Amino acid sequence: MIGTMVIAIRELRSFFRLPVGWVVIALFVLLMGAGFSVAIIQPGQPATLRTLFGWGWWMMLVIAPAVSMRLLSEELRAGTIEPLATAPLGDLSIVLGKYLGGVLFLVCLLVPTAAYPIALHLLSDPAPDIGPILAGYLALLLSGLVYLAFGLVGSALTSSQTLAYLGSLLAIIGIWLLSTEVADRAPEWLAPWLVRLDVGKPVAQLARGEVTTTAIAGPLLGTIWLLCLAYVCLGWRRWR
Amino acid sequence: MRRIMKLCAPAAFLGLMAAALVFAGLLVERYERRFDVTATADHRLSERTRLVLSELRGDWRLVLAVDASTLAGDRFRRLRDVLETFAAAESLDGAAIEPVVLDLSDPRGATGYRELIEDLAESERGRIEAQRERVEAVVEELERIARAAPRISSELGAIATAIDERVPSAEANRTFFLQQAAAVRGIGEDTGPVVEAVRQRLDPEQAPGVGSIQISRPDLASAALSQPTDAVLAQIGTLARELARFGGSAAVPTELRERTLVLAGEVGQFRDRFAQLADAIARMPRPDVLRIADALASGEAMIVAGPAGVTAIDLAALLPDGAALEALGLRAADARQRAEELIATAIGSLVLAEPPIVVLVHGETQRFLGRAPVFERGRERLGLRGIDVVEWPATVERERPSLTDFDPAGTRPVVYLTLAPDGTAAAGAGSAGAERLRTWADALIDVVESGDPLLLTLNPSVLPSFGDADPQNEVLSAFGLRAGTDRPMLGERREAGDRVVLTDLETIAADSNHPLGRAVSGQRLLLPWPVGIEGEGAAVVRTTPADGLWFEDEWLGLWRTPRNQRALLESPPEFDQGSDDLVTDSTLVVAAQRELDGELARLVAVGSNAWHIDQVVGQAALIDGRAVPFYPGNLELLEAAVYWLAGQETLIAPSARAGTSPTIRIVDAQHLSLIRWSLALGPAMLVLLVGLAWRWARG
Repeated sequence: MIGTMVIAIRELRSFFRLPVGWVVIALFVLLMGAGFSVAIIQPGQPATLRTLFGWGWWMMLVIAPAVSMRLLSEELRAGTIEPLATAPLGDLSIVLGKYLGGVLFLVCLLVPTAAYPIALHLLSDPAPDIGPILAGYLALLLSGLVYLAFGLVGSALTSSQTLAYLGSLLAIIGIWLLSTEVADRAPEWLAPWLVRLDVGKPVAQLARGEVTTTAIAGPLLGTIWLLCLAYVCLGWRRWR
Repeated sequence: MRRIMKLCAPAAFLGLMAAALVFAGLLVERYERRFDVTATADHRLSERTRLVLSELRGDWRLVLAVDASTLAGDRFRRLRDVLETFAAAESLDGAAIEPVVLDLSDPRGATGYRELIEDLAESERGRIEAQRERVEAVVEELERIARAAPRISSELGAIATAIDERVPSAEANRTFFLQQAAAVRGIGEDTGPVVEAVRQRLDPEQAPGVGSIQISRPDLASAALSQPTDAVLAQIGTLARELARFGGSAAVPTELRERTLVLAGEVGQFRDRFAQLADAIARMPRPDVLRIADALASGEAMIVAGPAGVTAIDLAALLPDGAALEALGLRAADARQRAEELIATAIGSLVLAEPPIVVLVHGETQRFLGRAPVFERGRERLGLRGIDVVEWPATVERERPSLTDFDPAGTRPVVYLTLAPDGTAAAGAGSAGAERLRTWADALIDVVESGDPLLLTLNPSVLPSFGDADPQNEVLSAFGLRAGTDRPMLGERREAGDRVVLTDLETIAADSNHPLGRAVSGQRLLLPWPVGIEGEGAAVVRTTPADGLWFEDEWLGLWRTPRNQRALLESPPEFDQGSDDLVTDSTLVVAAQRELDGELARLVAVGSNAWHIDQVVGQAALIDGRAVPFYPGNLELLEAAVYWLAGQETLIAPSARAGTSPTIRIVDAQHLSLIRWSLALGPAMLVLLVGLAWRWARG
């Protein structure tokens, strides 16, 4: 556990060691801010952040794999994975630590956007409910967790960051197509199982403020399986 | 072998993990918990529904009998969701609600459906038998009249023959009695088929029954009897009256008079007895099982059954399709709340007081209810509570409308609601506005003097400026109230540097101890052309100094200018310290009551006229796919006022559509631009600054 935390904190620091980490956060916040200012701050219109969470979900789809693409592939490229693996940690701690580092960075990405609910609170009459806003953030975080895990699997499979990014992005799009377009045309017995692969649906449900245990558990269980896959991929690469 | 094991072990691990996670996912789905944090309270029962449910005792069933294969998946899921929410309601104190879904396309569902109807028919058997006897009594009386008809007819013929030239208008009288003789003979001849058709419906062996269950149908029998009964009553009523008139005439010879009066007495007896029996079946409430039979005949209905009785909701009303929703100004996501309201009303109709009837008294020259989008939203909302709305154009119809169709027994409370005519309107095609205002107010004064409850809406009026009394104040004066209709309240705002005069007051109702005040507390209302009300009574909605209003006496020009042209007015009204007064704390909505002949008479006065019309209450924003009203307080006020006036305070509670949706405040263009740029760039710049500081601190 301590090893996992050490790796996670080391990973988080590495994000901020270079200007690119700050620039990514600033760009994310800038795009969200522009959307918030133009589409939501409309006098007399409903004070809701739902549209913003919709955009955030799309941005998360692009950013989360980018955050995780370097987590393991960088170690594999530089050959530093071997010294790391020889440390008394185990592959699972490495995978979890790296992943946790990515998750912490995502949290850092979302923290500055708290300015928007605060602004909404000050600008609307009456003040908006906090419930849907918290549920929206939970939705963004859960989608980030899944996409980050996809990226980690890609990163565990190749030492090329570009390949890891593109591979995980294509996998996310592929799963999305499978759970929507293919599911619509699938046989009756298969369609419900394919639909369950859709990350967007539970996330949209949460963003609406409809918090169900299924909507939370779906992305979490998917994330756990992807982390298992990343763990197996890492072990398989080392064994090969 | 070792290599194969090395390859298989991870695959087996992943497979096992996948199986375990799928199993965990299925368990979570099976025992799903839902927490509704939606801004629009999509998955919570409204306070009103909870209030209705708290009145329930014993076991209740919400039975959905539907051909599931014909119902779109999302509509079916939404309805099941609503039923489950009812079943899980915490306000069920000692009662239980069990949702039962019977799929009529499935043999088991069809069997369950039949058993349900059999249960209901059995529980209503005694009541059906009592009604069968009442209808049978009318049929027997009709047969007696038919048997007597040939004799009466021949007696009428004899009277006609006995009329000689001594009788004034002898020829006309003779013709009349001969016509009446033929008509009475017709009664005797026509009765046979009618009696046979009615008896078929009363006979369990021959009646259509309920579904496949054989049962007497007194409701269908009385419907078949309705028209012939009216015709016979009209016929013998006219005959009895004319015979009495003819027999009472001094110009008719004595012998003929006596003969006519004997017949008049006999026909009069027939009329009175038959009228009494016919009235009894006209007022006869249909037994529950027969009442729901019509809904079930359509093949798809939801039945609400419990110890207090049973009722049915047509599925088309419960889950309208997209086009039907659009006609109501709603979206697909609104269907859930509509379903909740309908089910709550259906339950409420069994356990709560009878819903009131609202009579909309207006001063227009023609009827508009159901024909023009004026009060359709209000009518739909009240309809969801089982409250019927009847129109009374008081300026063209002096008599109050008949409510017999809605309330044959005359037991439902009646509430009068108004829409004031424009007193400043010119004569045009009809009468002038001032004249219509007078007639309309006279009708309302009559309502108030008879002690009937009134929800009065008020328009600004020019009459006081000419030294005349405003008829609206005459209505109010009975309750010790007076409205400042001569000086409506105006406000102002800056928009893009220009001064805009506001004629509509947008306000959020403050807390109040009055039931009406509690119903609208915290909700946003829009009151067009507000006027202040003074006097006794409980203030429900008040202005605050923060509203920035003043009482304006030169408002007529603005009133007459169409809304979209008001910005073009060269000198719109503005606050004049010499002639105008600032509004500090003025009452906009007041609830008053007084004792009249030992009874409590109630009045709610709203210092605005168009606050309940479609144009105001229909303004909505799309939130999470739902059309959420901008001013939910208006319809909440309407509903609560109707219940309070009907003496049904216990039914006042915020509905599923209550709750003010937050909106972005109005700010001027300059500030808006500044806010937008700050929010677009500020947080991003702050991140970069923190990054720079971090790197500087870290060296």
